[in-house]
Amino acid sequence: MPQQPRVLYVCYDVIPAPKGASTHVTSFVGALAAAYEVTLVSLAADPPPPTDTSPDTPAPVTAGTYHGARHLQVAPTCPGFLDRAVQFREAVWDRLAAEAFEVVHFRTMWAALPVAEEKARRGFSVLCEVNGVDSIELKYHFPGLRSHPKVIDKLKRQERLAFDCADALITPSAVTAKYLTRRGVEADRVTVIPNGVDLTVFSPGEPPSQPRSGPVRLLYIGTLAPWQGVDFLLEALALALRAPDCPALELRIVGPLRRQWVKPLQKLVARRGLEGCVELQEPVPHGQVVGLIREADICLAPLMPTERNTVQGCNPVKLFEYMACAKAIVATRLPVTQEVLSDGEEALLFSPSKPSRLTDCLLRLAADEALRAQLGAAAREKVAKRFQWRHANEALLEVYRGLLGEERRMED
Amino acid sequence: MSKCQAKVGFLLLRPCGKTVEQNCQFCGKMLCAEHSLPVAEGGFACADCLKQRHPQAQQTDTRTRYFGTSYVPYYWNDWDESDRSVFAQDRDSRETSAPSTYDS
Repeated sequence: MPQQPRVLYVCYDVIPAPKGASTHVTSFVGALAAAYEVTLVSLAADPPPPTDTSPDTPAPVTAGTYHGARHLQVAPTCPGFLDRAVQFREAVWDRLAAEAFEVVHFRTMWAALPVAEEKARRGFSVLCEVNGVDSIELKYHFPGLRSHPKVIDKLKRQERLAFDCADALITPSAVTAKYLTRRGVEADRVTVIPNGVDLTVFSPGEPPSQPRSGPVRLLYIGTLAPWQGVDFLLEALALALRAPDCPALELRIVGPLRRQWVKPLQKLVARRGLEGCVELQEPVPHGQVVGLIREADICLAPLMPTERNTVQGCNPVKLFEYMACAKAIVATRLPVTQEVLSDGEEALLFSPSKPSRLTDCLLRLAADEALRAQLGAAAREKVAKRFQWRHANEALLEVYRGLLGEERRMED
Repeated sequence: MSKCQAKVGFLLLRPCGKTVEQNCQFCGKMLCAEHSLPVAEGGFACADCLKQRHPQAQQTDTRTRYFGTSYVPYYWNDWDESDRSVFAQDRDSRETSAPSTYDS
């Protein structure tokens, strides 16, 4: 039996983790491992406390298996983000120097340098998966970056290297694909593969045996990063609760409660007197997310029109999970959400010009259970037709077949 | 165990790092088997010393030729202390786990 092509898949993420990125990687790894010999390189879930080491110090690597792939978890030991990322890059480099691969697939720009260099030496095919770019996203994690254009320029050069060394690029969003063409990437090298959902896990569940009483339950799942618009949501909720005809509302926010982002939100909750109706909760394992969604009446994605969402693009996994559970969705009217949802058909979309626009959607849906059911049913139908992980996986395998010069198998 | 001190790479020069076999007979640099180049008069040398003594030597031309042909060079200088200080300014970088990027 001929040896299967060997694939190295590199991501600067913790896998598994309660994040959309992890769900995405897990789906891709499972699909690839069914066809190829896959090595996944990711960050370790529980790295040791940082020590005063240089980025030249090899990071410990733990080997295991994950969804049919060999899983190498790298645990950087340096204290700062930059040195940790460089340490990770060096671990990728060591792997590329030690083993032969037919395809190297990376979703972190920190892998660009070793991949470009080893490609020139060894001649493997390269697939660059662009979910985001550091020159845009890191400005939110490290606001000081905004006043250091030279560092941003270095990040951009790293990105250019990633784009140029790739034989093909994939991205989940058409907005990101447009961004890539503005960065000089030829459109015919880019394939848009939207994220998806597993319908065997995410489903509406059994309808309640009797009508439920109590407040209308709103749910937001995701990080508390500034681009997510959670502060905007809190302002809209405060306005809704002041409306004379507003039913009782409660908002559950589920996501990593990082000190940097949660503190301003807690202050806002206190300032608007929302303590009694807002619950902040740490994320749950991905398998438990479906339970949270099923308990909700209205699910939210109040993305803000930031550079991250409008220029770089995104394709939130949570939208597909909300849709698969047949929930009424309220989301911001942006090109990235309109790639997935149509206003008035599967969701209510609001203009991000002022919180009262979101308030109007909340009040309308809170008062109209039939509309919630109608939007939810249409969303479920759409996601089943177009946005399942099996659709994304098949599109990914098609890109791989092109890279490896394989013919599509007859049984497919 | 000593590591080879020969520089490798075309985007970013870095120490080779393989196990040392011998030293360059001219400059004393520690070299692995791959980077120990035979000298016509006998013994071994590093690529830099060999190039100085025999400018026509092929092996030391590789990098120059690579840049000089179809490859478009990237000006790559690695991260330095001033870059590091930018990422150290924010609370984020002092947290134990580096942020995973590209949130979904």
